[in-house]
Amino acid sequence: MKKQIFKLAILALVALFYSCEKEEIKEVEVEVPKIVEEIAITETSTFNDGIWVSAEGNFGSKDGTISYINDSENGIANFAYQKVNDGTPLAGLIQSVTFSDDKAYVILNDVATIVIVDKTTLKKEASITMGLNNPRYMTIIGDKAYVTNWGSGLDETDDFVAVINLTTNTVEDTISLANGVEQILNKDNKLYVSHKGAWSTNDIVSVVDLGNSNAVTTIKVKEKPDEMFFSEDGQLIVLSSGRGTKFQDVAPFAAIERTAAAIQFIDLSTEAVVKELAFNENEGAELLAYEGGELYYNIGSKIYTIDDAATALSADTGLEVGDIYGLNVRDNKLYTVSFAFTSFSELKIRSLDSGSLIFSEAVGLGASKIYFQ
Amino acid sequence: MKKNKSYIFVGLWFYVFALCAQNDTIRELDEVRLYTKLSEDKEVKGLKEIQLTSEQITNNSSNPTEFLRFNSPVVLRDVGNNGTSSARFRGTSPTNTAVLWNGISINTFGSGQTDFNGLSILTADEVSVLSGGASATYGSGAIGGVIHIDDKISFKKENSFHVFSSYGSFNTTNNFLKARLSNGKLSLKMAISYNSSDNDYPYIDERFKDQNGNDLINENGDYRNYNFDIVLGYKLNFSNKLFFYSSLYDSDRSFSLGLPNPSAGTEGFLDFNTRNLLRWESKFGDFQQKLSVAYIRQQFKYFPDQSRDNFNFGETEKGVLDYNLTYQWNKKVQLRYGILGESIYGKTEQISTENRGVLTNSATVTYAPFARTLFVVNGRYELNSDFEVPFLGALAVEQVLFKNIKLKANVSNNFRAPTLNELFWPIVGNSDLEPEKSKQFDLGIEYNSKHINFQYTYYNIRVSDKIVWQPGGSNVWRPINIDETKHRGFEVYLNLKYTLAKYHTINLVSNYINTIAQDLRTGDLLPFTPEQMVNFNLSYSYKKLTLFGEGLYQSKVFTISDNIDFFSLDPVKVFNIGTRYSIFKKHSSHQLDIGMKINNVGNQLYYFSNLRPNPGRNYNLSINYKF
Repeated sequence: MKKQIFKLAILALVALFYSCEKEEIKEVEVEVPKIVEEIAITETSTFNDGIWVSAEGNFGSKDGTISYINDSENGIANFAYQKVNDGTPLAGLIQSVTFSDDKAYVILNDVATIVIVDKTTLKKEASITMGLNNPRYMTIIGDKAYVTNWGSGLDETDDFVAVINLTTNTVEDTISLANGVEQILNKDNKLYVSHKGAWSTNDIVSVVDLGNSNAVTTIKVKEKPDEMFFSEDGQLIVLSSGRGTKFQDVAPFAAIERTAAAIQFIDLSTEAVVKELAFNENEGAELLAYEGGELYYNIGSKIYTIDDAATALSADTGLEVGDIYGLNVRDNKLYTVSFAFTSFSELKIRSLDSGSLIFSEAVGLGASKIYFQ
Repeated sequence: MKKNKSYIFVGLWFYVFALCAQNDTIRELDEVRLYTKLSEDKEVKGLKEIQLTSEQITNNSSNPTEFLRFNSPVVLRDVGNNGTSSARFRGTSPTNTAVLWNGISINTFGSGQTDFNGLSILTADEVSVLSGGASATYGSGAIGGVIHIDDKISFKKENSFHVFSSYGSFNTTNNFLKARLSNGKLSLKMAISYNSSDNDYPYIDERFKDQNGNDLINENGDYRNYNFDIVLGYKLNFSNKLFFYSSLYDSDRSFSLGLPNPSAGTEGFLDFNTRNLLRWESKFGDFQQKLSVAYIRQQFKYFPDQSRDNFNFGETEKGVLDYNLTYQWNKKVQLRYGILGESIYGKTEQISTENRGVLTNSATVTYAPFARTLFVVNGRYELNSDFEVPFLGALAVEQVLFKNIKLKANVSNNFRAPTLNELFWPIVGNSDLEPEKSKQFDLGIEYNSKHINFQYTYYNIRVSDKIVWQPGGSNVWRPINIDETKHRGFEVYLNLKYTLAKYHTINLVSNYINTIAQDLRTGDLLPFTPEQMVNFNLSYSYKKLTLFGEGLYQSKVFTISDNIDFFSLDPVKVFNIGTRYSIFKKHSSHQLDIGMKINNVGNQLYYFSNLRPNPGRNYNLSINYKF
């Protein structure tokens, strides 16, 4: 017996003699265009100026995050919500954020929850967990909020708008709509909803007249309408990206064949498309920003600009920004977030005059929305 | 420096090896087994393999995931308690784990994986876990390792029955009945199992509470499953045996949503699997042959909302014809030739039926120049209707020294076939995919005595053309052959059994695995791969009473390919204790035991998937009757 233990001890020694350590692989140094410092989050940190970037995270992984960039764009705090709220994460895929005067409503798509936070302190105030099903976007009218919901997967007939009482934070009514409700805007007590089509496809914008027993009318646009804005002269601008039917073999798998895509202008009184800026065949944009009467859209990895009075899309060569998932414009600066779901997205700020890069920082997994406070 | 260390180790190993091989020529031949038995003709040499017994299965009866977690070197990740579960060896993908039921691969065509909460192992007679690459023997998927789930049948005359039943917290119950009848010529095993649970445990994550400050509950997590097995053996004569294996599995699970809003969970999942296998084994002269014909069918339905009729589905149908001929050329050389044909059909709600044809020729030369030395060379050439498969080879060497120490080495190249979904999913599927490939080696030491089985193996795996679903700009994800990964580390297995004094017995079974699995493009550690994992089961018996404790430690894992702490799961530390008492015990096949177990004694919060907590402290009572 002793002999056995001795032998075993020798074996164990030989075995444990060898252990493994992680091999370091040299990282490529990237030139940083601007010195950006990490903002230390304290009890008194405020977030009601500057920029919020929401990162979706992966579906079902519940790892969406909010990053905060200060107004002078020289400080950044990633995971800001979690840091403020004692280490508790938002715990869902952040589809979008809607702001009221003093609150932010963070819509968590995969866990059917809206987290209500104080816009200044980023502290959690409440959450809405009942009455939502794949929530997407929200618009606020007075003390009511309207949230688009895809409803259950594989069911194209159960899409709805949840009507939320913002005093009680409960869903008190629903408005049934056609398949694939996406973005939602309001004007003159009417809701405008783009129907991107959820898990399939659609090509309409619904108008819900809240003053007329929620009567619904629909306007036909191109396939997969998503982003919407009201133009300065009161028209509804709708971007339909078209539906990709064939994609490249290599990342980023750009659509090489797609159905017709267009930016369309809708007159609100007649609810008719009055202007259509059609993309070339098999081309289309997924993202659109509207600022100071100018439209900014992407075709693949390039950004193009046109005036809202233009009668055709841009003939310029465009500004190369890489593969992006979010876009916004402020003070003649272009804000983009790179498309990245397996590693961190980069927020990049470029001068629209020179195209030069001013700012570049990692902001979370699958960053998608850039909000200016 | 680290590299040097590895060379020193390898060098040392070969030095010892050479030394012993020389010694052998002058040492007399002893009883070391040279002939591999027919039933073991596919046993892979030079790798670490552990056998798990039906006693261990009944100890961790709740589901196969828990069982393997506490008893094997495999790292399992389930999406919520009893949700879909995937198994990884050494940081390789779940598709790199081959799962075989009585020798037939059961990984689905759709995903290339086996769901370890979607099958039954309660009534299996033996589960063995082979670590390392074995594609030359088992084909696609055997890169990280192989899990065998086997029914054993003998022609020993017997009429024996085994009844097991357990009941515990959250209305969880596991039950089986196993019967064996044999008259020496005809042998029958019949088994039926039933498991179910409300699985509605409270979440003990203090960060999340409901509106009133109460614990949230694992809503929509209930499950139930049935399994029915029948095995028939017929001994035609001394040299001819016929076997028939049949298995039917039916499962209905709800998938909880976890934190922060379990009330929104609506998903449901149904599995229905049937497996049939007919096997003929015969011997004539120096030849042995084995012919297997199998048909398996595995289906699932996924309901996004159980209260509605809409579902997605996936189905795999597979026919297998497998023939093996072994020839004992002389005392030192054994030859084997095998031909395997497979026809696989797969479909989903998105993919209309696709068929894959596979024709494989393989050969093995087993050479034992000295009684204590064994060389095995394996080659396999596969023709596959969907893609080109590289020629597969494996070289294994085993050397016995000091009677009970064995040195082992195995070098192999292996592959994993692209799956139905990867190749054919509408629009995003990629028909140009090539198989994932690996080159790897294992160097091991095994020590065996009456009281101890100790196994150590160092491994090094390089996987190339790894298939990864990559996201693209239009939020389109497509599978491409992109990644290259490297996996290094070691595995240790220890099984100790000591009788301290009369009636006092101590038994320890433990696995330790060290893994450095890196993405060679970034240097980052691969997700869901702990650097360290330990599990153990320590039991102490005095006469009829047994006390045991079992534990699992798993170090931090990252959940995305970037190594950022926010995207990681904290180390897992779980400890269970229990006791068994033999009300009577005439002999090992006639006894009645009752047992009690407290799972997660420390009421620790632990996660295998982000924000899907596992249960806190919970209780379980069991009765185990053999007669």
